Amino acid sequence: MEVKLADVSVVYTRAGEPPRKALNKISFSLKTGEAVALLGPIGSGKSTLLQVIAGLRPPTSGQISVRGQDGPIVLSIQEPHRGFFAATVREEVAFGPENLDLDPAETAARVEWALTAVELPRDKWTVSPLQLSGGEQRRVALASVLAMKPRFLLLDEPTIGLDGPGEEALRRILARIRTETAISYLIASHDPDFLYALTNRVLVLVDGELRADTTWGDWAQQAARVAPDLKLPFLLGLLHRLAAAGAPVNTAPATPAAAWNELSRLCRERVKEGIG
Amino acid sequence: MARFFVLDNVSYCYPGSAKTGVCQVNLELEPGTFLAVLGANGSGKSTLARLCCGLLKPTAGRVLVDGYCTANDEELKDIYQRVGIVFQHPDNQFVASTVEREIAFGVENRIMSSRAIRRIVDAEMVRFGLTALRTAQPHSLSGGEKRLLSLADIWALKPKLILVDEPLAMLDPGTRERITQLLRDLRTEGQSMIWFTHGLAEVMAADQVLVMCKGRVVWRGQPATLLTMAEEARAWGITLPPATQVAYELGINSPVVANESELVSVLWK
Amino acid sequence: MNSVAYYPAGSFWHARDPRLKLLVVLAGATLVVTEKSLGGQIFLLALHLLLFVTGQLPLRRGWHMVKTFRWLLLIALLLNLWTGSLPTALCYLLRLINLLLMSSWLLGVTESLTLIKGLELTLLPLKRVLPVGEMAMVFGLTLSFFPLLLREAGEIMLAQQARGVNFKTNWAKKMKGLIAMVIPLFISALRRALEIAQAMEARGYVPGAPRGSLYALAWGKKDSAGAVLVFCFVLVWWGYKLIW
Repeated sequence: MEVKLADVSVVYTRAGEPPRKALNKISFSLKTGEAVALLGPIGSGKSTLLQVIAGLRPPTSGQISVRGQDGPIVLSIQEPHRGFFAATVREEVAFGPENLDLDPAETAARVEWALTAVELPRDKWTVSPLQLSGGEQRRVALASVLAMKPRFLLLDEPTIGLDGPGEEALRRILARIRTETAISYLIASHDPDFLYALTNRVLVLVDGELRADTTWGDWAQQAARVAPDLKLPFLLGLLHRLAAAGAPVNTAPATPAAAWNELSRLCRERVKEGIG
Repeated sequence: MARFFVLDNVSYCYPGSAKTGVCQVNLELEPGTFLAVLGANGSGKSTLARLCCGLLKPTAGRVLVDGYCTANDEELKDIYQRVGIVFQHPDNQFVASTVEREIAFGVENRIMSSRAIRRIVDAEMVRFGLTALRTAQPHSLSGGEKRLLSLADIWALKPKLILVDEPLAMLDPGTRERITQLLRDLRTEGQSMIWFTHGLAEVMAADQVLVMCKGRVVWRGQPATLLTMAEEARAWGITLPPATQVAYELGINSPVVANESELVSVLWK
Repeated sequence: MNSVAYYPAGSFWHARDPRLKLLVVLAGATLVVTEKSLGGQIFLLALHLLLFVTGQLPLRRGWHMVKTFRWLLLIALLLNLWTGSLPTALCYLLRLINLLLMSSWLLGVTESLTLIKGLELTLLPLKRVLPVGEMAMVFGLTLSFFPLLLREAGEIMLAQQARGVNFKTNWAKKMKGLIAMVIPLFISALRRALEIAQAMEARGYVPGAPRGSLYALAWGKKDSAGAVLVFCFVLVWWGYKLIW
């Protein structure tokens, strides 16, 4: 399955205001199996782009085409727990599959799978979603879109409002689901550390324009030139500063694991030197 | 002379709910102190913030400000004059439909002349860089501008003690920098402040840190000491500066690393 | 949703006392409601457009207001066509449009806290029987929260559409979709209301207590002249109606 955007633009017009270009001639394609980061400052058009891809907002101009329809494209909006309405967690999660006209047995099986996948303890399946803690609410919201078995899952700022442990749990859950299913991610966030751990391709959006479509290693090389205001993942930024100070390190590791390897190697060499 | 700010064995339980409140918190502040309250979501820090300013009344214990007690309804007015709170979501704090009226709202409640109110509002607009947005609608501002306005709202009231709840959440790096600098300036002016957050990096300049976990104060001390407590920090759900975390995971125990520059010099002198 | 929000500008009307503007709206609304001829309604429409222009409000704002309520207007028009003639139906339509324009104008040229103050002062004689201060504040807050709630509604709609809500299926599903919209919006409105009440309290607001004001309300000569003009206009209008 492939989603292809060709010259997609979105212009917002509101009474009493000049029209504002939210997206300007965006072209790229997404393929099944990818995990893609959508980076950009707040207000750069990330949310609009996700809504366009999910088919919830028609582009003002340009085309979006989907080849090989074998599963839905589902968006989870910013602070998705705002949409909670059902009396129990189980019903909340069943809402999506029910809208897909699945038979009750299939729906029940999917709810079971999704709630297990987000690691929500079983005794919380029958309480109201509003009674859960903030972190648990986010996981229920994730389950409610996962139960629709999306081929592409689009997440808009999933870490906003989460604390350290909440973010770590979400990261672990998303990583595990990707290894267990054929799901693809497109995750928009202003938090590069979260994205670096989960994705292998980087799209950078600044002022509604696609400034880069590349790998993390490559992005680390060009970030300072293309979007100096955007933070690099901490590990990549650190390696860059070490290289600038003269340390022999690879400044373009594609994954956090590779970045850790670089740092550990440097550490070991320092220790050896210390002994010698 | 009454003591400035005292929490005397303060507890709070949410009525009919399993939600964690706070349990037996004791605290005394000298004027001019910058205190940081660290804790994960649901640790009770937002509840504690509301107890400190009188919006919630303790179910046991007392909160005293200059001798006034938040439990007495007649004294609440005096509490509100002395303690200001900046909420986590600016959108839910705004009442007026222009920036200048928004800053004026709290001052107007003090029954001053229009000229006196104007002077205060203008000064705060300059301090927080909002003068050009004087007639803009609060809800239409950018995230950073909203945060600045929510701070200006409270600073205009000149409270002796200011409580800020996660003031850097949901901001991009540039704005975070700007707001951190502003709060630092206010601190050097001698403003007493309690800063509630889950990240230690924001509050390294604090005089004192109080860590909350499940409604209880589990640790208090200097922020620098916390840098050496990675295991505990993890258990409490608070976030250490990323450089400290990386140093810990690389097994570097000394020297203690507080920021990226220090980490670079440890790894490559 | 800008057609009911305050529109900052330095026009003649922006500088007027809110009580005068309330009087203008009261007089205007009375005439609009009592006027039964199509010609009269067209004349009043022209007057309202004049108010827009002198208040430096863009006419697009008025158009947007009408567009927002297009379904209501259409239904009203069709109902009246069904029960009466084309002129009466058009007259009814214009009446509704005139009322919409009037409210959009008032909210555009009056900052909400000023409007609250004006309302409070106007209703002052009723203070003994009604909680005037609280009523005015609730009214004003509703106004400033309206755009926020609409935005929230848009986002919740998006969230539920993303979860497959489809209003083109059978009735049972439609109802469930509607519930999935209304309940979260209600919860969010309630939560916001509670938080804002706390924020106001913490900033020293006491409902009904005397307050200062950044802009002292000073009833000036121009306001008196305006009030006289409004009264004269209403008298002339009714006198003309009586004679003809």
